[in-house]
Amino acid sequence: MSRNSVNELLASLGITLNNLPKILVSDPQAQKAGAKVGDVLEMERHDFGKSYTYYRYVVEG
Amino acid sequence: MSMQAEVIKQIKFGIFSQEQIKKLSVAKLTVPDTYNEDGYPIDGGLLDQRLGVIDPGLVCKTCGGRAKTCPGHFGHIELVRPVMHSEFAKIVNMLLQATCQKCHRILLNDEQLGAFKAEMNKELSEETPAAEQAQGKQAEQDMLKKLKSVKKCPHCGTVQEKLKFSMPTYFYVGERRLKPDEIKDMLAKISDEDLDILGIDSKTSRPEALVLNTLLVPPVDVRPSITLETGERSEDDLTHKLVDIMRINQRLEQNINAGAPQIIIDDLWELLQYHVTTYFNNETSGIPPARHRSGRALKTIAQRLKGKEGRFRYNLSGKRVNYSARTVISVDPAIDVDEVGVPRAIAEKLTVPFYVTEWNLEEAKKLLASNQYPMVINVVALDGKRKRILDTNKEELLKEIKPGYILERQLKDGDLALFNRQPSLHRISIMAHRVRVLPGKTFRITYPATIPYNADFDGDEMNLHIPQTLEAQAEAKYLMEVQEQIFSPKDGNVIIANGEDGIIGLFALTQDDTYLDKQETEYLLGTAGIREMPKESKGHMYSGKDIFSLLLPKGLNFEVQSGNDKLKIKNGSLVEGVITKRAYGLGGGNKLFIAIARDYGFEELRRFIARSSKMAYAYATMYGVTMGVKEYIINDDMRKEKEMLLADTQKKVDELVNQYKTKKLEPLLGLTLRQSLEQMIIVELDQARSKAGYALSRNVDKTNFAMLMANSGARANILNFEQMSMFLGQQATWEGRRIKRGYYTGRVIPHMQRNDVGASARGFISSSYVDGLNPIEILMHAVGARGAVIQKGLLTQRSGYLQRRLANALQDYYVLFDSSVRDVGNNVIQTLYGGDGIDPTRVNFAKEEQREKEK
Repeated sequence: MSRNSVNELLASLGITLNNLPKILVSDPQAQKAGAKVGDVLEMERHDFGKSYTYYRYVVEG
Repeated sequence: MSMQAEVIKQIKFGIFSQEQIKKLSVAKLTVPDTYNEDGYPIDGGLLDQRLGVIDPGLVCKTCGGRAKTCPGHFGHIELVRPVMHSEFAKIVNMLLQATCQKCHRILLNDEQLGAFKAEMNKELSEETPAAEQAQGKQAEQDMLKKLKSVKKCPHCGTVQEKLKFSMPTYFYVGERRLKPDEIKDMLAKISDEDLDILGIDSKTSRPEALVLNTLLVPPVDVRPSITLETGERSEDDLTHKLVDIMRINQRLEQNINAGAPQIIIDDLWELLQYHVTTYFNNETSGIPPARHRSGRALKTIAQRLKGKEGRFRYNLSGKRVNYSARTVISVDPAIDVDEVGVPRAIAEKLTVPFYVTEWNLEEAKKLLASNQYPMVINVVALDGKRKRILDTNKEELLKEIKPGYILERQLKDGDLALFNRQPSLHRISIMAHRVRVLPGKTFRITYPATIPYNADFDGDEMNLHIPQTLEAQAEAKYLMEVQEQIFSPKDGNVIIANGEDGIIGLFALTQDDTYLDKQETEYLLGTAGIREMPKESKGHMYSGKDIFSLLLPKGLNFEVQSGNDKLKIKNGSLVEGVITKRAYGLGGGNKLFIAIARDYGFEELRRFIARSSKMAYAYATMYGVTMGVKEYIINDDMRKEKEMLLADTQKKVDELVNQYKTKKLEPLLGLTLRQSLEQMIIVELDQARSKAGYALSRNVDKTNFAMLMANSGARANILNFEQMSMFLGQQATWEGRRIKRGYYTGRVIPHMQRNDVGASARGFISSSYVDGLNPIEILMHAVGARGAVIQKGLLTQRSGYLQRRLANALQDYYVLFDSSVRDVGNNVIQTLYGGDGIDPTRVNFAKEEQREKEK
């Protein structure tokens, strides 16, 4: 996600980056997405024929 | 954790050294007695006034405070000979085993020591995962165990003698017993570095303090004496024990000074050890508990802390609540579902705050002036002081009250109360009810309301809490009222509904051929509180469906069809179908409730449940619903049919077995011939049972009460009926297999042919409960029943614990206004609740709407 859209997201939820759910950089999925520490990943997940948006803040580890 | 100003990082426990005890102590106690002849505390005695005062009027000699202000102060006793602290004997043993008996170093060479140290540090480090920490702990334990068998000290080369530890406080080197003073010396010589390696913080806990020279005496506040009506004083158990200790201590001193023989001194020393041990823990294993004169065991320090009634679980974890009541519950079908019947005696005790404002001042005064039942008990003034209303101060208070005052008024009808039954596994284990003051001594609830509480009336007790602030009342009203909880937060199924006689009553009432006369109709409608008559039909009679329709909300349109059963409500009146459990009872199939709640709201649905159950009970009684063995006795025709069915089944099974033996049986896909046979027999026997059930429902009269129950869904089903009237059928073991093992070769019991795979040899029962089983059938039945019981027990236990762990893990998460799920630290758990933001209690409403749209 771009810096701007991250800020928008945080503002809409009224939180800081640290309040977001986290994902480790070493996570296979994070590596596949080429994520770097400090990024926020936006993911579309398809459950039961509907798609939902999830966010993960990439952290060290 | 952004809400807390300070965070406790760690708590450290240590052991008081002799010096610390003396520093802490305000008095050295020397006299083994409490009061003198004048009833005055003896100086230097166990109730020395320097230890604090508990009698009103006396002044503490240490702090100058009175009984209320003096917190109490510690004293100490100097023991002439040291004694072991029994609770720490295990640690002392570990230390003695781990160190050299001469140079007192750890019995490891430097290399091993380094490794051990590393292991220890790793374990203590916070970054090490818990699993590895546990592993490290195990490694240490192993290492310590090995130290026991070290023969020679690697530092000074001394040969180690065998050290024996015997509970609770004895140590032997070889044959010789180590006296506490020797142990103290040995412990004192262990270096600080070595202690740190062994995991003992030498700064806060030196091990020689584990052998006591001085005994810390708790303040009198901890062990108050009580005065009986006779004027006699009775001392606390701890005081008694301390008197014992001091008495022996004094005798020991006298004997030593008098130069008594060693045996006598050792005996007294031993006795001192016993008293000190029991002072700490009177349930120390291996020694008899110290007893009171009456023969009752003394309650000493450990007993005060331990167990359910100990300081921790009883006083610290056990919180008690005001504005609450508890009593036995019982049913009252006459009250509303959202009401709770409260005994008058409880209603008179519990209070609800009445906040005096400028606009209700007149009302407040009227309330305060009242001398009978809903009257004011307390008045809370502006400064927060609570005054009890008496005849003497009533006039005065009447003049005094002004806006801002709070009147505490007795509970009356219509007040909100939270009602709870433990175990509170659910959010619906606590619901808000409206109070209904009733005569009697029990809380009253309706049948539908028992279900979320999982309550019954065999002696269950429940708790009632009265919300005190307006916020709490509002929360209770809008979130917790019974009608809000009719649909489960788990899956949206109905969890508050009628059952049994409630269902059977409406089932009978809504039958196509139910017609009642005017008087009966008036009676039924009267019980439900309805004051209009349905339209007449069939000359001066009223149809049951029309009577029932008056309960429904005006203008309701509703239709469900499942199989051949159809239920159709048009413009608020039932035009087709009967009321069964599917449409009216608990569970997901109850579409009627969903329709009412969606179109008319929870309030209307609650009213429907309450009124319809009253009518149902009345009609069930009027109809004369009853049950007996007679329902299950079948006529000769049925009996013939049963015999034929069984013979037919037997023939089919025999045929299958025959085919199997001659290898003519066509195996099923993926199964061996033997497995196929088994499968086919099971199917065949199962079919026999369903055929029997079908035969019953075809032939037995519709008005047979067992049939009525099964058809309406009120209780039991056709299978239960069939097992009682026709035959039991196949008894299964684990995973639905037939019974085949016994302690014999190829047969279950010796009464059968070896390798008989036929029906009756493998647990098929062709008798019914009414006819009775033969001995072999009894055995087969017991095998099946035992398996079922065990499986059920295991399953409920496991799933219950799993559910509990899940609930505890999730309990502090909440859904914010923007539908995101947060924890207490405002961390986002989900950006949208459940991924879709749907409230499970209303999920079925949406489904219904969608279905209608699709039509």
